[in-house]
Amino acid sequence: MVKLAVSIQKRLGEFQLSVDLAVECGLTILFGPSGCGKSSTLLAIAGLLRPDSGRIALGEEVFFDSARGVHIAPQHRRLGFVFQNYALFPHLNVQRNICFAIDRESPDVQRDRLRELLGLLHLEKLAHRYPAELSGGQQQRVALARALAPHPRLLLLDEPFSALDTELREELRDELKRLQIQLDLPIVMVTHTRSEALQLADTVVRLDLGQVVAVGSAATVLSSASQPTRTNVRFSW
Amino acid sequence: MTDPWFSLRLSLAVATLATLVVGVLGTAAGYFLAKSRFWGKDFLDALFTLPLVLPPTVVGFYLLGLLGKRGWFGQVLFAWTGWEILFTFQAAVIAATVMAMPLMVKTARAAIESVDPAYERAAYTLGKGRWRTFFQVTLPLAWKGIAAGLVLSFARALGEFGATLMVAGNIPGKTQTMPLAIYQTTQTGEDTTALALVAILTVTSLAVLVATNRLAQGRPW
Repeated sequence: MVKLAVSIQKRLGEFQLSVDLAVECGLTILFGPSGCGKSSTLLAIAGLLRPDSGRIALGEEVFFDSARGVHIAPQHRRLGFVFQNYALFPHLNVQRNICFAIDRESPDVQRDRLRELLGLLHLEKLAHRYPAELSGGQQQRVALARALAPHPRLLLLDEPFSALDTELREELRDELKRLQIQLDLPIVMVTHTRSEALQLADTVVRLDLGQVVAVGSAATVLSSASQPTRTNVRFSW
Repeated sequence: MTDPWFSLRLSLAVATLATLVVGVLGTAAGYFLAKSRFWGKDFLDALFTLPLVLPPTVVGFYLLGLLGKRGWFGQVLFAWTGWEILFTFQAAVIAATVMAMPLMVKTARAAIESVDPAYERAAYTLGKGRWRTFFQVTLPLAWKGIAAGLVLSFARALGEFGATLMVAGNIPGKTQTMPLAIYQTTQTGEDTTALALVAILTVTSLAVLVATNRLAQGRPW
């Protein structure tokens, strides 16, 4: 199991993000109310937000280290990112969205990977549609396929189910869990929905006011949720 | 002696070249202004817009200072090549380029700013650097606005008079563009020729405006 270690500080206007966590990822959920800093943490891991100071490392690889002046650009981190509104390229069809990250591979490699992903996410019939012609659930599956195409080392999901209706959510949660196990892919996901955290998480990191307040299994972290106890101890699972 | 067909060909050549230069430089400047934050950005933006509000003769005056034999750039060019750029075809292209630049920078910047940065972020996380992201995501999504900017720049370059007169002169058969030919033929009473030139410029400008509107609305041709 690969370890993700994040210890960063970032001033965002009046808000002070000061996150310190180390998790061995299966499926890790960053949980907390809106504005607690969970999305910013995810952006920092992806390299889309540069912390003021601290260190971010995945396994042996250091993405960011202010002490040594290291800041790997997002395009070199090989992480998959699924955005809250999916950010599918509106001018490209499903097929070209999925192959976007691997468009410099040979046509054969692209075709095989495309077929594999279309099958994995049940998108075979939609390959030639444009994002505007897809439902929310379909868009989300395309966004997942696109992020998975270049074989990322870690998949980051920012509130991936928030734009969907309740029934679809249930269905896609199951699918995500299935994918994570099937692909043996570490996932870090942001949510503010308790049921989502309980259903999916191997590890829950609870954030509040820009700080980590608890780390542990979903049951332990979320049961004491009404009265979060602040702790400065770093847990590792 | 005014040759209307030469003037038409010259104007089209000048406007086409100026549009190409403006398209590349103006889009780059628009991208830079849209994406980066730095001290003096407002000033730089104003500097690019200046030719839009200054009298063209004032712009021409500055260009004379820049391109003349004793000018900042003209001096270097003359020392290296022995060539004087003033009162040549190239000077007319430079004048048209400078005068058309504000329209291109403004429209390109607006078009680029209207592209949701989420798409660019997505491209970064998918392994694309700044250049690839620009050409594969930003440019295709901003294309309508940029095309509208190109059309407007072409129209502006085609109609340029004041700055062109200052730096390229009004030499029939060499630097006499359409607007200068219209001025000349009106002065000398060649009314038929003047009318023909005026009609051509009017129709071209009208076509340009219709094209721009269609582009802006995303309608097919």
